Amino acid sequence: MKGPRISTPLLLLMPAVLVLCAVVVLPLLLSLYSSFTAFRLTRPESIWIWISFRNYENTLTDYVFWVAFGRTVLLLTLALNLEMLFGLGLALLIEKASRGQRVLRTLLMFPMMFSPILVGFQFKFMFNDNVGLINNALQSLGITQTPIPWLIDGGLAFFAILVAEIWSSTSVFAILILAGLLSMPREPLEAAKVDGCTPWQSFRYVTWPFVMPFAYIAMTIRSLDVARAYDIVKIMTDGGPARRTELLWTLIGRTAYGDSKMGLANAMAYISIVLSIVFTVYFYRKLAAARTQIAAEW
Amino acid sequence: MKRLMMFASAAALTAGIGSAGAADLPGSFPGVTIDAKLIGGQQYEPLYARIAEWEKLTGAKVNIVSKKNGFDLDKELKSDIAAGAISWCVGWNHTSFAPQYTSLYTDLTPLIPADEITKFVPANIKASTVGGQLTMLPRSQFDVSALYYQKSNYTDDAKKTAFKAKYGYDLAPPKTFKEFGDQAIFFANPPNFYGTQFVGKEEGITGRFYEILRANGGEFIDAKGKPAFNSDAGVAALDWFVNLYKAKAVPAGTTNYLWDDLGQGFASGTIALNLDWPGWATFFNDPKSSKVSGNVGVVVQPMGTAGKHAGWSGSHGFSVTQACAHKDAAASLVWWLTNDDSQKIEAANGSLPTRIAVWDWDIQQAASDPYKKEVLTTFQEAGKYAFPVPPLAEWIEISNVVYPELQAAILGDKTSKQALDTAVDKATKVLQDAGKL
Repeated sequence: MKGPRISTPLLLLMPAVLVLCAVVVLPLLLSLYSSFTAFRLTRPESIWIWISFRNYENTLTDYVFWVAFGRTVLLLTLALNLEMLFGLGLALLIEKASRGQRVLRTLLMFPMMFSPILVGFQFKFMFNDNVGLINNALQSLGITQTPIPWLIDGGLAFFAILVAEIWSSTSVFAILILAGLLSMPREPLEAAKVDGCTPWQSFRYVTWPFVMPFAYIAMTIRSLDVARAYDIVKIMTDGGPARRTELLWTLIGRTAYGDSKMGLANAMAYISIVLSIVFTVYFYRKLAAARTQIAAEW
Repeated sequence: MKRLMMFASAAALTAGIGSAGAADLPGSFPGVTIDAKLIGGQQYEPLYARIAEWEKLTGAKVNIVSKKNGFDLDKELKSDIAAGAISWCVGWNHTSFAPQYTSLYTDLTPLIPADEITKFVPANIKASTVGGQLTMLPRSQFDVSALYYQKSNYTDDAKKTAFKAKYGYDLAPPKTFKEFGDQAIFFANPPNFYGTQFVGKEEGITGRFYEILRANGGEFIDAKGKPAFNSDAGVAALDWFVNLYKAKAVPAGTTNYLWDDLGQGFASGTIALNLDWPGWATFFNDPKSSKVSGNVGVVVQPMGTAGKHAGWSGSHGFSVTQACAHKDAAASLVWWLTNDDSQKIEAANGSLPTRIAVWDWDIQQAASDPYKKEVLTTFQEAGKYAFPVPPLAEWIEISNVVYPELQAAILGDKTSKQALDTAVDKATKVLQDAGKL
């Protein structure tokens, strides 16, 4: 009498499936469940208090949450587009360098080597209204007479955070686009030159379509990064003052650990994940379209 | 039953057997290992060096399983509570956080001889008691604020004359928040010199607002347990911050400042008046760290519109977990870390003690140092008006909904009344959600 036999491929996949279940699926299910409870960190028994969709209702009707959501989308849009532009510019410049390209590539990666916490501290100091480098420079050059409250004014603080994000991550775009440029065959460019294309036309109709998939890969990676932006903002402004720079994850972090309301924070997090999914799907579609276009044209 | 016996014996000791209870401490616990989660930081290390001596005397071992700053440790303790992973015995505690940890820490009353508890300053013991349970023994890390000032501003005849002409009273270190505000605006010469500064976010601004609210005769939570800080006293308290900000008497970035920014700011010589903690006293008068050394005076915290002093205060302490298998040994360690000798070590480094005898000893030690004597007597006086935060597990959560509203008023987004009305609504919702209202 033999028991049911498990097929060999399934058996071989089992360790991976088990590990995935233990480290991804189970925690996800638990956090999803807790988002329907009144779970507070300081009262563990509250994880059994089922409150149905109350956390989701509270979140969806919370003005503070939606403002943070909108601000995160704005940061995401601006940061990604500007990083893409600067990254593309840097990659094109480095590609043109006939000597020292390796050194330049290494230098380009420097900002990526800093922990986001350090980047936050560095820019917090630079934008400090009293002893900051930027105010001192502006005053010394006679451009301004009084210090600018960079991290206090809502618009300026957003700008400061944007600058820090761009500084630390433009190189992701630059490196990936540079990889695209270096792998690009020379013939189409030479053919374009022979056909009398201007440098702009060569870039727009030959180079850009080729590097586009690389840019979309960078955008997908960075969209996930920026959608969960936390460290730099936490250090620079912590979402303040008066919630002027509140982003989704500074709000969620404070709700979960400061206020101990883990159930509510998980509900916020699940709604926020939708944002990441939407951006990821959008960029994957763009990526697929760009690949199809290359395949058709080349 | 065992606990009852211990309580009975402790009561008997207080009744007449003298200090035998204290003599029983630290006790003998051979083979016992106490796991501890303590606050980390260079300033706390001299105290932890005494643990080895306790180990030698008792035969027990101490295993420090975690050492982090207070905010990170708070998150770790909350995670331990949530996960039910409380396998350790002695932990850091603080009066502002203690109400959140009632399910974590045990009542120390049956574990510590009553005559030992009477050796602490009663206000500190009161602040360490939550819901009738003594949740921690306070260490020599008691915090209440007093007002530091640059003395030279008060000896300058031109300033004295100009001030009297403008405000109609003599220029002297402020006794009220009204005088404090007047002088801060008078001394300010932005961007090079500011009248004062304040911590502008998190519990720092909520606590300072709470302090002025009490000095103005208001209350944060009323007798029925409802948030009530949008009273006239509350509006006057918030207006004090708003007016200083509007008059540019404080640095524009003050709403982002935390305690370190305040300390460094006053030491840089660009701030006239600084309501701050005792831990900075030595730093401010040290020429290596401060540009105002030799020019620092300190007076008791100002009075509010109700003619009252009020001192929002906090104190670090040590607690024993409910899950601890060796509560007697753990309590002995907690006692050891907060006894006279331990507190003398910490007090000698500039922090404020919580034991009556150590206060006397500390002031005696400072007899030949006029600055230290001034600091200690001032803070001892300031300590008389000290009170902790409301004993609510939701205090930090309430603070988190209140401080953005305080900031909104300070930055001019809302009027003080609008901001406080919104903050009261939000704080009420927090308490309703917690089933307290």
